[in-house]
Amino acid sequence: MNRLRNHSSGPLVITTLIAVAVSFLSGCEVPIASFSSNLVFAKRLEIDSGMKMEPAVNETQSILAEMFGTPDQPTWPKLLSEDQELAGLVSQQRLTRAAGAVRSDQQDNHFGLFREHCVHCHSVVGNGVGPTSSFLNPYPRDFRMGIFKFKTTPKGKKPTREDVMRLLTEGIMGTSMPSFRLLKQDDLEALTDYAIYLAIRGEVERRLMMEAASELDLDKGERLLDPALKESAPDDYQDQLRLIEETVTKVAQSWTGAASSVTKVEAPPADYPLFGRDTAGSKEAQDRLGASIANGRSIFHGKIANCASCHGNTAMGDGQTNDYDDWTKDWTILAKVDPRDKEHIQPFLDVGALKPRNILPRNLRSGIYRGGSQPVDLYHRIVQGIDGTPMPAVGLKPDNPQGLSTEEVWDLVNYLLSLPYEHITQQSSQVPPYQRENP
Amino acid sequence: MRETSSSYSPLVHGVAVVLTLSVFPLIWVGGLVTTYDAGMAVPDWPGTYGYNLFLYPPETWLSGPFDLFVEHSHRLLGALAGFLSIGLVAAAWRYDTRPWFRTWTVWVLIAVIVQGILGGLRVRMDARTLAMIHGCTGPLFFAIATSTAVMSSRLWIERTALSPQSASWVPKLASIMVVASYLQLIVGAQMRHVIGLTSHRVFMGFVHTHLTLAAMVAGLAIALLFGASMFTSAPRPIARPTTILALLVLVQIGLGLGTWIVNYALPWSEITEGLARYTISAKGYWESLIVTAHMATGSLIISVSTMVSLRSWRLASVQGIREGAWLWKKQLA
Amino acid sequence: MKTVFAIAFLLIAGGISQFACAADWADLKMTFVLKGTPPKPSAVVGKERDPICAALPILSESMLINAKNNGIQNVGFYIDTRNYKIKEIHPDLKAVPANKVVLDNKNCVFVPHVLIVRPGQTITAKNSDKTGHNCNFSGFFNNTAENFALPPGASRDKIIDQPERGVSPVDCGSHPWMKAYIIAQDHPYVGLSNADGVLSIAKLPTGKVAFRVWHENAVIDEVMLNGKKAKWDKASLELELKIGMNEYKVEVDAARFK
Repeated sequence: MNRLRNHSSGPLVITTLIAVAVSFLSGCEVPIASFSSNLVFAKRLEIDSGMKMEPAVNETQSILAEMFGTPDQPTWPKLLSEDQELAGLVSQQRLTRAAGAVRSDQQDNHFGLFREHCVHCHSVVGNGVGPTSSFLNPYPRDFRMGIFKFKTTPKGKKPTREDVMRLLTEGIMGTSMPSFRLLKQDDLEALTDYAIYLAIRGEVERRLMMEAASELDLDKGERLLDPALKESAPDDYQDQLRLIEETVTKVAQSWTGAASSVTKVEAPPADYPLFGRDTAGSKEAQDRLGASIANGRSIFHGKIANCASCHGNTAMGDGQTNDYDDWTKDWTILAKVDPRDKEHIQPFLDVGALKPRNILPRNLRSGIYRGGSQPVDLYHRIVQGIDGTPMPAVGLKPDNPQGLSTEEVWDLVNYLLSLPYEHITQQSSQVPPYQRENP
Repeated sequence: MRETSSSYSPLVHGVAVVLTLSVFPLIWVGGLVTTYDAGMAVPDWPGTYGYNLFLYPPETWLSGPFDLFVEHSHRLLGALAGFLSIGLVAAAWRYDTRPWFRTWTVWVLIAVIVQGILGGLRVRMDARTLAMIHGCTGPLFFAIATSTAVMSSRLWIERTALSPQSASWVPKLASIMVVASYLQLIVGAQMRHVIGLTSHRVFMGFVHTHLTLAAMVAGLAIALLFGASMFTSAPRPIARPTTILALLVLVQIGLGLGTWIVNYALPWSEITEGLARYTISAKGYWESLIVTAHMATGSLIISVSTMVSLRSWRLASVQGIREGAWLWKKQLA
Repeated sequence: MKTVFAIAFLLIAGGISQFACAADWADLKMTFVLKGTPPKPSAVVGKERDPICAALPILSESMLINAKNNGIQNVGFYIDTRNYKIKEIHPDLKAVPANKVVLDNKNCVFVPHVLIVRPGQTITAKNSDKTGHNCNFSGFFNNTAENFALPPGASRDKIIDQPERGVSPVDCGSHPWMKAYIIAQDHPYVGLSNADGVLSIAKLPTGKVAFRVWHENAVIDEVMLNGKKAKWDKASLELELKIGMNEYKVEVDAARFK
C-alpha cells in the first residue's frame, strides 16, 4: 500500500490539480443565466431623452425574465399560451428543445439546437452580434426589431412561419447563412419557434424601453411596473400591468397576422414565356420571350420601377451605394448620429453595435438572389420591396394607375433572370434568345 | 547520456509506433465529435448509457444516431490508446535499458489517463471549455507519442551511424516550428470551440492571430525545407519529414481556406460575390470533412515537426554546427 | 334608442365642457433665433447620378436660417407627455383633421420638409417630378414601415394609425440627400417653426406644461429664453402658460448645431 502510494502519488496529485484548475476555468460556463439587454437601443434612447436609461434597462430585463424565462429555460408567456389565437404560435415544448445546452440521445433526438447551430453568429439573444459576426458580410440578422427581409408578406408585415422555415432549409445563397436541410423536420420546427420567440422577446424589449424613455421620468424613480403601487394604488398598478401585457399581445399578434397578409401572386397566363423554360423552346416561344425580356429591360431602366437608379445602368449594383439598412439607421440616423462619424458611433460600438456598413444594391448580373432564385421569389421582391432596406415596393395596377401591371412584373422577372447572360455592352432592345447579341 | 546499441528494442519501438499511429484516427474522430457537436451524445461517463464502455451493444453503436456513433467510437479508440500505453510501459521496463526512457513511458501513460479524464469531465460537467482544453491536449499527446516513437528508434539510439550532420539552425527552427504550430492549434481551437457568449472582438482577435501564425508557420516550413534541401548532405531522416511537413503546411493552408468558406462563405463578399454561388450546408458531408481535416492536419503538423525537431537535435553535433555554418556562409557568398 | 341617448349625452357633455373651459386656454407663440453666424447652406452631394436632379440647384435643408432675422426654420415643438399628462384637449381640436397631408417630391426634395400628422390621418406621397422617386418610411416605431416606388405623376397613400414617440425620418433611396420628417403625436399640441423661426400652438391647457423640442440637426439642451438662460433638462422644458397669448423668444447658440 505504502509502496503504491509512493510511486503513484506524484501523478495523482498532478492529475487532480489539473482537473481542479480546469473545473474552475469552466465551472460556471454552461448555464447562461440571462439574455443580454439591448444596450445599443438604450444608448439611442439615452441620447434622445437625456435620461440615464439604466433603471429602465434593468426593469425591462426583469419583466422579460419573468415572462420569457432564460436562455436555459425559455418560457412562452402565460398570457399568450392562454390566448386561443396566440397559443399556437410557439410551442413551449419546442422552445425547451431548442434551448439550453447541446446534447442528443440514443433515439437521435437533439436538444439545445439554437446553441448548436445558431449562437455563433446570431448570439444567445438573437441580436446578430455573435462571436463570428464582425467579419461576416452581410452581418447576421438581429431578430429583435422583428424585421425580416426574405418573405412572402408585404413590407412592414412579419414573415410567415413557412418563410422562416424556408430560410432555414434553403439557407441564404451568397451569405454565411447555411442551409439546414440535413436537420430533421422536428429540429427545424423547434428552431423556427425559437427564432420567433427571440424576435417577439426582442421587440417587446424595445417597446418597453421606448415606453419608459418617452413616458416616464426615470430620474424621479418612475417605473414601468411599480410594485409599490400594488398596495397603494392597485388601479394604477393594473393599468401599468395591462400596458405591458398589451405590448406583448400586440407583438405576438403581428406574427399570427402574417399568414393572412401573404402577397397574392398574380400568375401569368399559362402560355406566358418564361426565361429558363422557354429559352430553348419553339421559335415562336423564343420570340415571345425575347420580346418579354426586352420589355423587362425597358422597365428596368424606366421611371416606373426605377431599378437602374440603385442597381445601376449596368445592373451591377453600382448605382446608389451610400444608404444604410434599417438595423443600422435605428441607432445612427434615428439617434441623429452620422454612421460615418467615428467619434459619435464609438459609444454605440462599445455597447455592442457592429461597425456600420453601407447597404449595397444587389449585383443583378451575378445570378445570386438571396431571397431565392425562382421567378416567384423575384416577383415577391419586386412587388413587396425588401423590408429593412431601401428597396421600395413597386405599385401594381389597377390600384396604382402609374404602377406596373402584373404582366409587366413578369417581364421584369424574365429580364432579371436573363441578366446574368446579357452582354455587358448590350444596347439593343429586342433580341430573341437564339440570336447572338451585339452581332 | 550515452546509450549502447544494445538498448534498441524493436518491440518497444513497435509499440510506440503503433501507439502513435492509433492516436491519429483518435484525433480525427475526436474532431468529428466537435464538428457534429456530439460531445453530449452520450450523457454519462465512463459508461455509455449505463453500459460498460466495452459492452455497449454494437448494433446501437454502429447503426444508431451518427452523433452517438462518433462519440462512442472516440471513447473506444481512446481506450485503445490507453491499453497501448500500458503495453508500452511494460515493454519499456522489460526491454529498454535506459532508465530515463522507462520513466518517460510512465509519463506517457499518465498523460493518456489525464486526457481520458479530461474527456470524461467534459461530459460529466457538460462543459464546453473543457471540450476545448481536451481538444488542445489531444494533439499534445500525439506529439508525446511521436517523441516516444522517435526516442525508441534505432536512429536515435545508434546515431553515430549517420554522417554528416545537419545544419545547426535546423533543430532550432524545427523546435520553433513545434511551438508555433501548437500555438496555432490552440488559437484555432478557440475559434472552433467558441461559445455564444464570446465577444465578437475577442473572436476577431483570434482570427487575426490565427492568420498571423499561419504565415509564420508557413515561413518556418519553407525555411526548414530550404535548410534541409540546401545541404545535399542533410540526412534523409531529416530531409524526408521536412518535405512532408512543407507539403502538409500547404495542404493545411488550403484546408484552412476551405474551413473558412464552408463556415462563413467567401470573405469580402462585395468582391467575391460572383464566385459565391454556393450555399453552405450545415453539417454537410464535405463541410464536416474539410473542417475536421483542418484540425487533424494541424495535429499532424505538430507531430511531424516534433519528429524533425527531435531527430535534428539528436543528430546535431559540434562538428555539424561548424559545417553547417560554413556551408551557410558559402551559400550566401 | 340607445343611439339617441348616446348622442344626447355626448352633446350635453360636450356643451358643458366647452362652457366650463371656454376661457381657460392658452396660446403659445415661440420665435427661434440663431445666436451667432448662420452657416451657408451647402449644395447636396450625389445628385449628378440623376440628370433631372443634377440640373436643379438643390441646397441642404438640414439647417434653414432666415438671413434677415436669423430665424430657425423647422424646429418642432410639442408637449412632453413624459412630464405632463394632457387631461383635456380643446374641443375644437379634439377631432382628428379629415384632410390628407401631402408629402410631395418636388424639384428633387421632399415638400414639406417636416410634416405634422395626427394618428388617423393619411399621408399622400406624390411625385411632381419628371424623375422616379421613392418614399421610404423606415423610421417608424409604431406604424408599419412602407417604401413606395413613385414614378412621375404617381401618388400613394400611407395611413398613420399610431402615434410615434419621436420624430420619424422619411428618405428616398435613389436620392440620398432627400429627407423628410414626420411628427405624429396623439394630440394636436404640436408646432413647427416657419421661415421666420416662428411657431404657434393654439388652445393649449394653462398652467405648467412641459415641452420637447426637436431639430434635425441639433440637440437643443441650453438656450436663452426671453433673455434668460434656460435648460432643456432631460430634453424637456417647462413653461408656465397663462390664459391668452404667451410669447417667448428662444435664442439658440450656433454651437448647438452640427
